[in-house]
Amino acid sequence: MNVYVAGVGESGPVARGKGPAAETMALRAAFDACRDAGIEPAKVDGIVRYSHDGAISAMSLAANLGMEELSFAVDVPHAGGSGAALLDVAIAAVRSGAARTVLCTRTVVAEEWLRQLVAPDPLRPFYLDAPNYLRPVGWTGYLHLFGLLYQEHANRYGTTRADLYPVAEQMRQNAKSSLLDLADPLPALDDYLALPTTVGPFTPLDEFVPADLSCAVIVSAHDRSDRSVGVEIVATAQSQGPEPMSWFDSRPLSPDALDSPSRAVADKLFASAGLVRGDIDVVGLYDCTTFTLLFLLEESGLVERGGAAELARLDGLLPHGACPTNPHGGDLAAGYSHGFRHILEMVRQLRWTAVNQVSAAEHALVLGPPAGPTSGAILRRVAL
Amino acid sequence: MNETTAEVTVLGLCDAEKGTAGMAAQYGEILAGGRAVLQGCARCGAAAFPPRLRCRSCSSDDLQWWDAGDTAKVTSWARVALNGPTETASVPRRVGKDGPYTTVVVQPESFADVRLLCLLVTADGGIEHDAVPTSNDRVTVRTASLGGSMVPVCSLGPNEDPR
Repeated sequence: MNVYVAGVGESGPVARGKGPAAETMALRAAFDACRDAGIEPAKVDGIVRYSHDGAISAMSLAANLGMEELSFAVDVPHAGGSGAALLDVAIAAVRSGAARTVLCTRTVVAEEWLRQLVAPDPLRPFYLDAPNYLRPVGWTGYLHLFGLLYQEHANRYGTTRADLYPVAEQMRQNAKSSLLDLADPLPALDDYLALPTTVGPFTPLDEFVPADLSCAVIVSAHDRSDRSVGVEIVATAQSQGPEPMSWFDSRPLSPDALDSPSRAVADKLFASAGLVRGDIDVVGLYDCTTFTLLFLLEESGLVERGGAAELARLDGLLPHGACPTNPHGGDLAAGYSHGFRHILEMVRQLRWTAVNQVSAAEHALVLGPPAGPTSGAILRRVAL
Repeated sequence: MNETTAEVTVLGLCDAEKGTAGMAAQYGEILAGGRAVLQGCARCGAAAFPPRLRCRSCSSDDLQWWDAGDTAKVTSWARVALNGPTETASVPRRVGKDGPYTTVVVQPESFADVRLLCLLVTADGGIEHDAVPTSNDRVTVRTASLGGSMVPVCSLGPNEDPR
């Protein structure tokens, strides 16, 4: 059974604090996605959410969308790795018959997310490594995780802060071309290098830009819109990586810290899809920091290990570059979506309706963060 | 309880039945003895850190706290150049008030599959504000009192392997 992203919708992104109530954003995005899919909201019968999402419950969504039945509801607990995992779960529901039309959704309210980001959560025990064993010696949170991975990468491949600059620059350029740049301006390279770092190699300009937004995706075996092209979900995968005893914060303590779960996901995706890396025309890579994106270019297998810095130096992330990446500007420049808005952008790229369009894109890859559990998907443009 | 076998020094039992929080409390008590520690499996000999409720290798719950040894090799580090928390960096008060400081991932020389996170300190035990390590540096691992509790720390050197 072929399964499609039949519709996408969103509210925002807008600058932090400027969005309407979280429930309002979530409902707007959901209605927008249903409209895009050409379906009545009442016909949605499944909901898949990030477990971090406190905007609106599946029950409330069902009630306010006027759904005739809520026969399937799941929250995925993979933090930033949840994005494509939502599609993975939705496909399983559709193929099993548990649901016919599944709404995947993620709403981010910047102020709430920033509070969540620095607080331990006893309901998610995978985070307890940090308060119990890492924070007593100075652990500071997600920047520490990616700062330690950066340093190990630097030790092996000679990566420097100057290699992060083109990532920040090209994401801002992509966001500007997409008419939605929320990031602070980037100074010239020398001035950037002179900025004080906070944790590891990072300055605030290397981090995601907080925003208020909601994204929604409709997954179904049918695309009932009046478009002549659709987007098929060719493959989805999840992985906690080659060392399942380490996760999120403890990832840098794994002996194979640079052999990331994102690599495992990418390998599964290409094997499942029967495609090769060269078939991919555009990629949506999780980008909470500049290094995260640089590292994922390599972990996707699209670039050889140690080769992403050179690709970025050559403007390879722009739509006309060698590896068009996050043409919407990603979470680094267009608003933090926990990686979910990348899926909406890939769908628009494959429909050839994106604002910052990659020429003749036929296949897209979406990949979550290199600290598991994480997920990914390959999408394909198809005639309807 | 200090029982030395051919390969490891057992510092105590790691009681997984107490759950994640109970194990963390035990960890703090064991560190108070002055030695950096990791989790070991009495059944198969596998070592791990952070500790888990079952052995990573054989799933046994017959777990112990093992001495991590005196020396280790640097694999990574992150310098924190902040004197307090920001929106995205939750700098602990106990170290952040007089930064900068550096946390170091080290591989104990006796446990190739394990890495610990340590705070970099000077030879006399104060927080190291200036020096940062380089990859594969040898460091001395121990514990030090910080904010009222003992934590694993490391200092640069010795440069030569005494073995």
